[in-house]
Amino acid sequence: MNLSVLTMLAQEGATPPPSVWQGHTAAVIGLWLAVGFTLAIYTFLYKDNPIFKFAEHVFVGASNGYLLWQAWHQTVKPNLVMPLWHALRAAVHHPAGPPQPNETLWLIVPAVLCLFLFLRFIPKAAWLSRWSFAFYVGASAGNMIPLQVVAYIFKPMDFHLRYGIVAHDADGHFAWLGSFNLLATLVGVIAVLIYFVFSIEHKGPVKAVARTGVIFLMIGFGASFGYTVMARQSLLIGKVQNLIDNARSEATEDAKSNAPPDNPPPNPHHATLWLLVAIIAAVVALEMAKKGREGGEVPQGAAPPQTG
Amino acid sequence: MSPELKKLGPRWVVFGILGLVVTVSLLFKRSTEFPGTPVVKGVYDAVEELPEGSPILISSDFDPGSEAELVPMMKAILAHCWRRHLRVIVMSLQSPNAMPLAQGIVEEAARDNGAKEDEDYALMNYKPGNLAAVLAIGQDWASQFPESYKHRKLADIPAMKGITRLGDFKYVLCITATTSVDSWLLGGVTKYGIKLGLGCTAVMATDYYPLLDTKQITGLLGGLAGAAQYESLVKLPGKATDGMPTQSLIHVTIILFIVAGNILHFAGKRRKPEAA
Repeated sequence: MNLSVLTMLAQEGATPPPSVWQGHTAAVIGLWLAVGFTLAIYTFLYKDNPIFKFAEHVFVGASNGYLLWQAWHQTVKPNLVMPLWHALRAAVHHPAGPPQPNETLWLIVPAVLCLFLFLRFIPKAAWLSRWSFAFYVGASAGNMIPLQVVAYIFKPMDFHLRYGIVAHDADGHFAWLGSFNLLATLVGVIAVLIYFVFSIEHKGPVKAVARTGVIFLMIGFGASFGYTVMARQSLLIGKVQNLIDNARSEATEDAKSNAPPDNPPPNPHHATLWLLVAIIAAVVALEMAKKGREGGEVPQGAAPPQTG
Repeated sequence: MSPELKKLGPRWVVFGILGLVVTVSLLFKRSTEFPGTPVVKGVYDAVEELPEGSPILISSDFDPGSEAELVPMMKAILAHCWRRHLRVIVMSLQSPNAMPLAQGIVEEAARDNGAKEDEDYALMNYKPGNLAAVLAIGQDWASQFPESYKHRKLADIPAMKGITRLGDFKYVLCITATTSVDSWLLGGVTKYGIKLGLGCTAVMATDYYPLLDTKQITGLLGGLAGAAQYESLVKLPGKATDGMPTQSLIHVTIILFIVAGNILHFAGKRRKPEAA
């Protein structure tokens, strides 16, 4: 990237972060696109089809483009490019305006390490990218390991050593459920740890404890899976609620009250219903066209399609 | 697979029934109250106990993929904070996508609750680095957030008065769909001793329950159920309260599918030896 492009990208006062409300026309287009793409993605429930593929590609492309734009404006530009640019200008006695926060020439070090990452694309210099990874992994591990040990090992151990398996409620009475919970946690941790000790043969009492560990693991996985299903249901509920709201002729009272007074929400004009019909018609048309093509093409050496 | 199950085969029958259950249920909403469990009340009580005017930090660490679960949660918490006249500072550790979404949520909630920007709340930026970022703001807030999301200097934001580092916040709430809570736990709780509350997606909830016992978090809001309970506690029914009856109906439907699937499976198994 040459200096003029860098200067242009780093210009102060460039486009500020976007607002979620970008005017009425944008809101109308956004509403119809949101409904259309939601329905297009749901056509996958029927089967993989070109409409789903189109929506999927647009979604991935738009998401990544938006993320890149946001990453530039919220991360790279304010944290690296602008302070470094100002520091460089100041170093050669041409200050580019008032000093920037965190303006320092030391930023050259992370900038160079960042550029090293891209050397993965140049085989001869790819080894330099390991310096960046080594720094990143080393710094993360150095910061994290001591704190992880305290938070995830010492704290729980301290808790169990302090309370054992006897819990009390707020009034100081013995709490059955709390005590059962503590007992289950203690037994579960020991049993699961023994299950993962493979240097001892699992037979006799060790086998019994390891089996108990498996039961605890299965209960844990079951609870996690149940919560996972619940999370997916919540997403479905959110999307269907959105489709229902946009199947009406006018914006919901909720949307009206939540919108800024100078920018009322657009009326959906039955967007869901219109787009549902259009997308079903498109899927049917594409299916018929596909069947027509398959019916017309007879592969060499293959028997003609049977009719009747 | 049994012939009955094969006949039922097309997956769109199952999806169609689920879709119908969700749609019909949402069309005929019923308002229901969800009593707050002690786990959810842990967050509510922590907010309730803060003195008026205290600063509270919300780390909004999710993007639109988790909107359905976490937006109702965040709106209810914001409303609660402003009722208590707390100063809310919002930032993100998750991804650059998170702050534009958070901005929309906070501004909408502020309109509903009559909160003023820069006085009752301030939006900061997304800060990359996870744990490193938390450790850095633990030492000096301004080194990481020299200005707000809208490029205002910290000195010009009344809501930021007296805040020089992470420890100046009376309570930190991490609303997350990622592992950013680990950074808050390690950097915030373990290193700097802050009080932390957690709101997360249902998928993540089971991983963080042990932190309640050890008092490393004051409370936990897990998924839509957690959000609905918080809405009930602050008496502000919203999308989570609307969605929970549907959630329960889907559970019943799925249980019925599992029972029906098992009956058909075992019926098919019993018939096979007879046929042989």
